[in-house]
Amino acid sequence: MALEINNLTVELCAGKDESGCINVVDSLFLSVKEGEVVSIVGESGSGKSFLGLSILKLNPQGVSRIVSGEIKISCKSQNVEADILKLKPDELTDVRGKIISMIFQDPNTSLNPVMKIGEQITEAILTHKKISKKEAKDIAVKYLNYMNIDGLARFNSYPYELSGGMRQRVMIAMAMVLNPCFLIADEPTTALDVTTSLQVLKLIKEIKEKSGVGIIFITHDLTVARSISDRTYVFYAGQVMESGNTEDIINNPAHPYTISLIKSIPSLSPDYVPKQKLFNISGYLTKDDFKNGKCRFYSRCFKRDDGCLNDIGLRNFPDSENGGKYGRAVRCIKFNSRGGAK
Amino acid sequence: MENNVILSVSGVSKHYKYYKTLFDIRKNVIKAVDGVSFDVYKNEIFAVVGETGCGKSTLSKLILGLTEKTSGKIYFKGELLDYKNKKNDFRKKIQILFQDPYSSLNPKKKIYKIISYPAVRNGIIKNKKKDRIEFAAEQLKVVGLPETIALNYPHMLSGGQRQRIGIARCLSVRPELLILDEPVSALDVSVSAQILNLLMDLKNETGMSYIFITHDLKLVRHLADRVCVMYGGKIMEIAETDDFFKNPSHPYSKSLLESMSFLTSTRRNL
Ligand SMILES: Nc1ncnc2c1ncn2[C@@H]1O[C@H](COP(=O)(O)OP(=O)(O)O)[C@@H](O)[C@H]1O
Ligand SMILES: Nc1ncnc2c1ncn2[C@@H]1O[C@H](COP(=O)(O)OP(=O)(O)O)[C@@H](O)[C@H]1O
Ligand SMILES: [Mg+2]
Ligand SMILES: [Mg+2]
Repeated sequence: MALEINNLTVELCAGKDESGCINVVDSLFLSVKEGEVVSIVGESGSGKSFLGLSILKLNPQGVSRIVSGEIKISCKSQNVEADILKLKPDELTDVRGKIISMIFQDPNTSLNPVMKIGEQITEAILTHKKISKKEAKDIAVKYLNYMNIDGLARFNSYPYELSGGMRQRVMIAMAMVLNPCFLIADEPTTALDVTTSLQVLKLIKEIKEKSGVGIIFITHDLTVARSISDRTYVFYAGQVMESGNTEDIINNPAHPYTISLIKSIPSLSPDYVPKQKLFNISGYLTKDDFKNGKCRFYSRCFKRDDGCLNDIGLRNFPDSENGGKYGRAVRCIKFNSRGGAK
Repeated sequence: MENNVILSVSGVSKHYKYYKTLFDIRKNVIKAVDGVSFDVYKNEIFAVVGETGCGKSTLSKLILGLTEKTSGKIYFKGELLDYKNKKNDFRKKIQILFQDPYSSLNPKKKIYKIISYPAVRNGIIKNKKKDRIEFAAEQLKVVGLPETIALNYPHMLSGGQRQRIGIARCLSVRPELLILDEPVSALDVSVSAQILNLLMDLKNETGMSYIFITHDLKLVRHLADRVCVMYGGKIMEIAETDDFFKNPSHPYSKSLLESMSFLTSTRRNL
């Protein structure tokens, strides 16, 4: 069981003419196995949501289009082996929710405010499964219980009657109720406070362990990525800048962007000192950074020089243990695997 | 009262009355803030921590006079804090940075107008387009945004950018006490780092005091001089930040600290 994205490029044309087009996701490789959590970490506007949506071909129509690549899924429990980009519309509908489900930052946009939560989950089941309403209801209750929500007592609650954390757990119940092979979680804890976020993270981890679901966890917060993911993809302006084992990346970052990120978070860096200035990544991410040619982090990089004017693509660490898809890789010409970004 | 105290909160409560259902004749009471007392010193960062619903935002509304106190008194530099008393300029001296930039920016107004509005209202600059744009451009620089967006509307900006606009607007009148209600919780780390650095600089340069409301202990450790832990509308503990992290005295504080260690050490702790 695995999901593998090869060389995915998604074009976004927001301006009027073609010069306004950018690759909002650019020649991207990503993989996730059964029972694995991989994080996509990057700041807002870097294209994380675009990537998540594109995996299900839910990227905004009219302004964006998937230019090339493949998204291969193999899901034993549902007996499916396919390239999502080659599916017919009805097959795609089946994949969404049943094989890959998705949860978002704001449960309010995905939960129907005027429908009881139990009924929403029941309906989600019935659109994909030919079972009786009673059976679907029982499953809904079971999944709510599983999310630490009293399924029977809360079945008839409306979303507004629940706290933010509870609503997010209802979303997770809804996402998991069809027993999918993969879950894409787009900033599921960003809107929650630390205590609640912690509960939701623990729950996601538990679900992963029990069901073996493979999770793509999108976040802007490296601390959260650290707490939940096995591997991490550091994402910037539509490209993976660095990937590998999460702990390795945090303890031994290779890309100047990763180094900058870690130093800008209180408490994360091993040599952190309270009340000292945090590292300030100069400038900000703009649409221009998405243009092809030079390294996309060029305009903000503390290591840049003329060598960076040609993007070198993502390179595997020569001494990376697993190599290839699951090992360490970095996209920086300044980097040599022995001495860090020099 | 000591003269290095900027704000003194004394026995303040806010009880909300509500009816459980339309037909319920009994009133229920939520003690959102319940008999809270503390002092904030000049040029200090006073952190208020606690989980959602513990009363942090209600407390800030009480300080800002946005909601009536049920009981208690608040003093600003020794004077009774009364917003009806116009000559004291309390509205300018105490500012709040709101948590949610989406609802606090008028979608029909260009950015330069939004940012320069408090400065115009307080007579810091003239109400001329050129002056307002110039002023806004300066403030935009402070929060790391390009001057060019001064002429944009809020809907053209990202969430992070909108948050920075809110910060620019709030800092523009150079308040003496700034209440920061989860100021960076919706921001990217790179932006958040800039804002935190900026807030520290401004505090040191201007002598401002902050009440820093957050649920994130990483930020408390990073910024605060003292920390006040709230739970269910009450104060559980007030301590110097260093002491708090070394030796929290309240069991609730201990459990909060555990959640932090979870987020900052390896995932094997989960
Ligand atoms: N519907 C849309 N039309 C045009 N541009 C968009 C649309 N949605 C997002 N964008 C732009 O695409 C870029 C990537 O956005 P997004 O994937 O939402 O980033 P992230 O999730 O990392 O914050 C941003 O520059 C954003 O402004
Ligand atoms: N206008 C109001 N009417 C009734 N209850 C309220 C009102 N505002 C807040 N509360 C309640 O008061 C408590 C404290 O809320 P709040 O100050 O917003 O907490 P925090 O900011 O710490 O999350 C909560 O139980 C909340 O539901
Ligand atoms: Mg997003
Ligand atoms: Mg609040």
